[in-house]
Amino acid sequence: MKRPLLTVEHLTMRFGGLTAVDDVSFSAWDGEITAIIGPNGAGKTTVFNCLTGFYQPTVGRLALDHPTRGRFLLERLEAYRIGRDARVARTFQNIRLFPRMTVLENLLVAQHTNLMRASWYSVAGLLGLANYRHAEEAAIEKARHYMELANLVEVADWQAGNLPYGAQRRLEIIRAMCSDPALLCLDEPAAGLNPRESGQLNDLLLLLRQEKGIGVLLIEHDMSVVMRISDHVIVLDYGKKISDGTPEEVQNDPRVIAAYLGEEEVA
Amino acid sequence: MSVRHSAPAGPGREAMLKELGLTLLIGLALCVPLVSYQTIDDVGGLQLQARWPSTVFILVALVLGRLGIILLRTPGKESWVAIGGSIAAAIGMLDLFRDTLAALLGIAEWPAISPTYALSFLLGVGGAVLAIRAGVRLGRQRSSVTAAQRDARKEAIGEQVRKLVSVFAVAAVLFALTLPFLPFSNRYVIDVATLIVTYVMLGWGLNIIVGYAGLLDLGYVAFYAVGAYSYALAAQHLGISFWLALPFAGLLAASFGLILGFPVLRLRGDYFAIVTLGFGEIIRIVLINWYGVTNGPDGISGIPRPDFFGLAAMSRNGSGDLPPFHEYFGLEYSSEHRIIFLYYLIVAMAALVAIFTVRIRKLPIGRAWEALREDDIACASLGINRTTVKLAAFAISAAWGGFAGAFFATRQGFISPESFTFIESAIILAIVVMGGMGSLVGIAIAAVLLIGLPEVFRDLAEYRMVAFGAGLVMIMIWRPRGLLSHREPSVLLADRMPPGRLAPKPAAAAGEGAE
Repeated sequence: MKRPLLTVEHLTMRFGGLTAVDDVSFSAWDGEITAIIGPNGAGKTTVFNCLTGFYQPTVGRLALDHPTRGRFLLERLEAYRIGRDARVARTFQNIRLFPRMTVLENLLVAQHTNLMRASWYSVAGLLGLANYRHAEEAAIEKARHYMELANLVEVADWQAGNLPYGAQRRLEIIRAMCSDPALLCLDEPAAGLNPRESGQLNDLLLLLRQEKGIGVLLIEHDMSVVMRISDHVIVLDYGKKISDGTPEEVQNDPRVIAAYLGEEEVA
Repeated sequence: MSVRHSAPAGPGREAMLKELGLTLLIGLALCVPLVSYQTIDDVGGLQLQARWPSTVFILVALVLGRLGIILLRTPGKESWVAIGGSIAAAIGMLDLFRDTLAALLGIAEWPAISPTYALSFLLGVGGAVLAIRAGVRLGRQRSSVTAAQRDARKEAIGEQVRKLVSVFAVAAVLFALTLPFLPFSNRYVIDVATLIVTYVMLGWGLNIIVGYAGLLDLGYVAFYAVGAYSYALAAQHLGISFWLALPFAGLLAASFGLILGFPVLRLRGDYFAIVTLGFGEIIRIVLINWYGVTNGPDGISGIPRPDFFGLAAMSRNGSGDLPPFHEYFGLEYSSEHRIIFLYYLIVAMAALVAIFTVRIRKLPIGRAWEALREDDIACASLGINRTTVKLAAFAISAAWGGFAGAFFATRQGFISPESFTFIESAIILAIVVMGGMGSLVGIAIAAVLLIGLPEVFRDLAEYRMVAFGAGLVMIMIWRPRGLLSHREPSVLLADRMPPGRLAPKPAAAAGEGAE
């Protein structure tokens, strides 16, 4: 069996007396969609915040084995280095775009690290040297490629804040993709979408997994999305992992049913 | 605009009289103690002098103004208010410039109606506001267009304005370049223009922190002071020429930017603003108290003027081994040469800032600044190191402030901590905010309005700050997001695609107008 892309071991996060995540371990692989589900307040977003460096976990090891860049221990890195070096990208539950910038500009900001290097930390850019111009063309081409995948080319020059909600969700995902992630963490991408938009979102996610072969970690409430596209499901309840397996296995797990629907009275 | 609760038929005669009476009563109660008597220092000690003409004038103006407001609410009477308001505004303005008018017409005295300048000003502004409001109401009634049509029209106007902005910018640059040779130009005009361009440059410098990176810096004047003092001290103690000291002043200011940046960049919002405010004050207080180096409150005088690129001196008799400017170029001596030279110097420096800003905005660092302003958490998740990006903004912005400071020192020939008080920071910040954060043209217009207008209104003496305040309030009411709040994208896909493939922008995409 191949080595997992992400290995989470004994992750625990305490806020004062509250244990939001309690000794959770799981793995995620390249080219697979791993869904984290659970009732509200189960600690799903906290796991994401630990993974992407916004929280410092109380206990636990979060190892990312990048296919080419080597191994990173995420709990020791600052948030921006997790994006820049370990190449973990994320989206947010309440969309965080750059609303007054255009769609294309949003996608270029995501390629900041590469472009910054190509512009020799702005010197080549200020002088208008050819190498920077080529790098910028390449970056725009890449942005256009993703806009085509997400069906956003037509609105490339719109301000991101003026897009319809579903398009904003898709933009946030391809913005994360533009930063060349090895692992893409999506926090409730289908929240607030109507059935048609959530269908478009499913197609986009399947396409990304298929074409780019990256690992996707997905928090989702919408079971139609989870059961259709995920390869592997992890269920959290009150900060603990209660189930782990394929969608079918999880669906039939009595502990999961109990967590979602309540326990049956035992006579 | 305030909400009106009146019935469409308008108030009855009785209600009107009651309201006018009430206004008169309140006016009397306020005017009699405040305006009617003035203490004057006379031979026999302090005397009370009655100023009944002022009181009567105020009360009449007050009642008429209130009448105007009442009539505004009455359908069908707006045109009367518009006419009356215009007349009042005209009288006020004519009174305000009575001396200029008298001089122009070659008569001894303009028959003024209002007793003092301040009252003329109030009359003019009050009348204008009433007339404009009446005009707006009239315009609204006449047009039967729907809100959507009106929005579309506003959008079209916005588009026109945006096109005009570039034309306007070119015209402004040409005007700035030819100003010293225009017929009306004289020493005073060039001096004021130099002052305005200095503030334009400071505004453009601060714009990088406030407009792009979105960090509210209330202590920008600190960098200005660092630049000014580093040139003054370098020239005085080391005898370094202006041209060598200029990059030095910029670098020193930039390092102060970094020193300030490191501790404060972890703060956000209000806390950040307060710390920068404190930093500005610390610099000023150090300048006052470090007597051995900065000469304390006495300031540094005799700061050398810049020479003409090391070729000629800008003084009558030359300095050292440099020949005087007029001899070097075979001209007749004129004291204006130096003034004009300084003017072109600051114009060139401001142009450098503008070119730099336009270019860096289209680079990754510029986009990262704007992204940071929009959402800094998203920036971190995309691998952008927020600290270095913010520090870069701070250092660059501070360097421009330092350049402007060195220029200030060499132009004035004398600097003291008094020139670097908080009010300077506030004025520069007001220029950036009023101009529409991020818009170079808007900032330049705001600088002309906020620095130029008080100069024009110098006749009003201390009341000119009232003009400054009134200007601020008017911009806040009519353009709450700054004079030019439109943000031009730094890159467009439409430029690289065959036309017609992209969807037209939605009306709201322009981001113009009040929210």
